[in-house]
Amino acid sequence: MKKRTLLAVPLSMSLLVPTAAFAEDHASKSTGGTEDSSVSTPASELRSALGHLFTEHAFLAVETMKKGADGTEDFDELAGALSKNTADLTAAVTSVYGEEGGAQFNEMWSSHIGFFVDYVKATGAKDEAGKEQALKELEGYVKDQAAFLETATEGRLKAADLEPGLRMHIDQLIWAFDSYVAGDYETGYMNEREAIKHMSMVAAGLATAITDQFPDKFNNTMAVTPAADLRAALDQVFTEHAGLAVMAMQNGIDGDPDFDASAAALLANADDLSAAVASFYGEEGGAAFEDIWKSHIGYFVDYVTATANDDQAGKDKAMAELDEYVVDQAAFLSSATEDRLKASDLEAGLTEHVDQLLAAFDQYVAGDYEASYTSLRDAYAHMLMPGAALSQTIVDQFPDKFSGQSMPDGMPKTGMGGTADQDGLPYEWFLLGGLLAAALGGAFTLRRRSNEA
Amino acid sequence: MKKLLSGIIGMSLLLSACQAEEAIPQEKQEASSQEASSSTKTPKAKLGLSDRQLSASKLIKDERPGIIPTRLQIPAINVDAPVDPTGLLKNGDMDVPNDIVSTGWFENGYSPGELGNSVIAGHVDGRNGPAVFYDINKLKKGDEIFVTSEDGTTLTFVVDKLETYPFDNSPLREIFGFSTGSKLNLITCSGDYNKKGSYYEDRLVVFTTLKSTSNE
Repeated sequence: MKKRTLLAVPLSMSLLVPTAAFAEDHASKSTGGTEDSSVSTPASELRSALGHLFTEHAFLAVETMKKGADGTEDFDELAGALSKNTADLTAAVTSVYGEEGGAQFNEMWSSHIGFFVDYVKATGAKDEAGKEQALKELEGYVKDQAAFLETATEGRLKAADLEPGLRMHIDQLIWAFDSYVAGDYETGYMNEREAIKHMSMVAAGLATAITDQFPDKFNNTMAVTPAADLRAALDQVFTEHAGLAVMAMQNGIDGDPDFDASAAALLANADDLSAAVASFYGEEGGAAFEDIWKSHIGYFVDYVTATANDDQAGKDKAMAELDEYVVDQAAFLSSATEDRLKASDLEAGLTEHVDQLLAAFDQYVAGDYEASYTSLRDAYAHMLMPGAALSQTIVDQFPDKFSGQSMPDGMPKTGMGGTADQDGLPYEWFLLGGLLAAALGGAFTLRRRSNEA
Repeated sequence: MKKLLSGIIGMSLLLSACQAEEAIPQEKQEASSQEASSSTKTPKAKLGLSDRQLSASKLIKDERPGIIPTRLQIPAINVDAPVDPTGLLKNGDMDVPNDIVSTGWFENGYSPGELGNSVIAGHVDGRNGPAVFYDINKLKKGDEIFVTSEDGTTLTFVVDKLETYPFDNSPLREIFGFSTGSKLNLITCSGDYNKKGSYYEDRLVVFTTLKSTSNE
């Protein structure tokens, strides 16, 4: 297995080590559309890595725009996190398309972030013409980015197909931002969530094109299979949880008017995750998961409250409860997966999650924004680990749900030879001509009939 | 103004809900379902979680719903045929319709309308004469294809290109796999007829892209 593209995202790769073993014995047939039930094929890894960075881009972009509008003092560091995301994406593109391709991508991608910043500035200055100008520049970006990807993928991605998706990305970010500025926080957060989800589909499309373009580099595996779809879905919901949690905690300590909406968005994310669990482990399993999962969100909020009140005892209590949560959550998952996921491994992973979120929050409160946003990015990336581990476990535990073959091994046999040129004897030709005429008439009548139906 | 008002109403509802909650002693087990307080006056006093569902004045969703096709119309070549769901043969090849007048949508794959390549196959001929897809080789770039579901939703696809491939060496992923666009590909037989094996040597694929959706 070539690790060329995986190298692009060393951070997520190292975090994926616990599940990397799955990748080994799953080489797919080189012909046809044979699918793989591993969530960690080279193609699925690429999709996951791209999904991580694309969704994080949408999340960080919206949050940066909002902070820009509010002129908060952590704006520069948050914008810096967005730049680091761009650098990681550029490294991924470079690993596939070389230095020149990467540089072109970087320039284009950075330009669109710049146009968003222009839009934010114009909004702050109540400069309608400036907003229009930024939107015009963004439309130019859509065309350039689509053309770039069509060329890079040698036509596997079509500019005509890409443009609506890129426009949707822009519309979602702008609308989430406009809604926030207008004080309609619920609309803002709901559209932010849609913007994150949309990027997950972008990753599926680009990963499909790249793996089709360089099949040898990806062991001929496919980026979109039922198993890879599950992983991508869990990746997206888990990572989004980390992002929304950090923001809700910030909003809580700052007494921001959008705290309720951001907390509700975090709970809506928890509902999505619970629904995913329920779809495999039943309604009861989903409900049990939901209770445990939401409890930890509650403890984080308690921690924020205690911090706001300078209440060390309250903080200690919240941390003790988070410790208990880790044990409960690990026990639940280990039992639901019939011990395929080990409680001790789960506890280690969950503890890391809790520590990362608390670190991001404590650093934010202390005014160390750079460290805080590094913790945020770590926390976001860390969630790929449960995404990979849980999806592979589910695939192993419910193989029937993933055994369906969505690609045929061969083309259909759509002819019986009744109109084929025959190299037989003349009388056969003569006979055939008559049959043909009769058949044509027959077919015509049938068509007429279906027209009338 | 309207938005602001509903915001205020929402807020006050939330506040009254929390006031009711606050009478209940704190129970950590219930943290998940706790209705909550976010008093705007003293935001730092006690934060909580509301289980209230969010609502948006406008939601921009990336939705490409697929349909289960029941009727296929290609005016350019006078085709108006039923579409039946079609799966796989035991050998893993795509199955074909049972008769020469209907077409088969590959139900294991993508649905017309969603992101990805959906496929409808039809016979070029029967034992004695032409079948439903006899004329699809006459289609040209820009020709329209209509696919309708039972509930009357009609999707319009536009022909991008026609390609011919050897039957045993077709780019299956390009024809059946995921795509960044909503695609519909029509397949029929073409090329020489191998009498011995009773099959055509080639497959003609008409590649099309979704243009619009209408609900009658």
